Amino acid sequence: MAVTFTLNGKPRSFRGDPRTSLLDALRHDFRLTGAKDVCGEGFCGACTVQIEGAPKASCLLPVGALDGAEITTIEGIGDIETLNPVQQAFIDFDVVQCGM
Amino acid sequence: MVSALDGNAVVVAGATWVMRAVLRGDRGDRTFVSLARIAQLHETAEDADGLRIGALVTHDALAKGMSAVPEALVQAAANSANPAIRRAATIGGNLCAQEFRAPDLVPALIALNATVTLVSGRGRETLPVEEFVNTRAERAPGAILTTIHVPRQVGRSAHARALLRQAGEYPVANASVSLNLAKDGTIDTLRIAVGAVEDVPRRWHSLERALQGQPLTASHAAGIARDHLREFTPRDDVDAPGWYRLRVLPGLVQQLIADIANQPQAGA
Repeated sequence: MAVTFTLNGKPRSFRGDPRTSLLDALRHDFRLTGAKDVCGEGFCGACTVQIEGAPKASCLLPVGALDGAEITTIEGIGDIETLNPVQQAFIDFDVVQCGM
Repeated sequence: MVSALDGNAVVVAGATWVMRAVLRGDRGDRTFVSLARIAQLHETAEDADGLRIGALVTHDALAKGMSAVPEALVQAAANSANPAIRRAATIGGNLCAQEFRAPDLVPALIALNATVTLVSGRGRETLPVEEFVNTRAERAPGAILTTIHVPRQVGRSAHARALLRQAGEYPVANASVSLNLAKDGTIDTLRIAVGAVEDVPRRWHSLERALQGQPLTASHAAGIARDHLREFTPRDDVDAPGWYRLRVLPGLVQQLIADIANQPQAGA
């Protein structure tokens, strides 16, 4: 079964086990490593992505339930020329994200 | 499909519990039967009798949704877990995750005298929430919880939870109340439910009886609660020993009654 969704504005499909967490699919199949694998239980927030614009913990979302969804990861919120204001603030203020 | 897989399938709503099965040491190989695409299960509707809530309605939607959602349920939904979890976790999941010892919505639903409707190949069954959570482990796989019905409330309600930190973790105890006042301002009828203290949330019957006819005074109610802790057999777990769960209960009762006393009179 292929699951099809929009990932950072582009159509993508996933053909693996639909029980796979979105976080694992992002990191292992789509090579998007901006979402981090830390606590694995939706507590730390390091794996947060936006689903239809709402922040959610990607470690707890099975890919199979995301057919037709619009997914935005940290890689999708800006580009190297036009950073998102939050990304720019990270640079301006030397922000370090410890990752728990 | 769930019946045919005979215990090897798990019905999935928001998935926040089932996706952590392996972390808990549970089986991670069961087939997922996702309800996510059944549109009706995401809907909430108000009718003359009260509120019908689809099993896939999230905590976030309950907390921010219709004005008809009673205060106890709003508070339970708004303060459970963390914002990202609340956007995914559902009311049906909270009722059906039977190994989860500290659900917030379940005591609120028991206090509000809510019922659940289960649909299976044999038909449809409606039963009180407290009866459902006490029998769910013995039920044959195949029945799916589709709807929660919360009867129209005539009085006020509230929910309180005790955490070791301020937010983001399971309560060591929680409690919900729904009550009506007599004309003289004393407590007339009430239902109080307690969660996280024992394995399954349940009503606190002895305290309900003791508070009838009493004034709506928080410290007085907490004092009465202290005399009725023997009703519980508290559970020890890694987050807190059983005695501690009992120790915080009178404080939760005090919070509930103070909250109720501060709420505007219904219909005012």
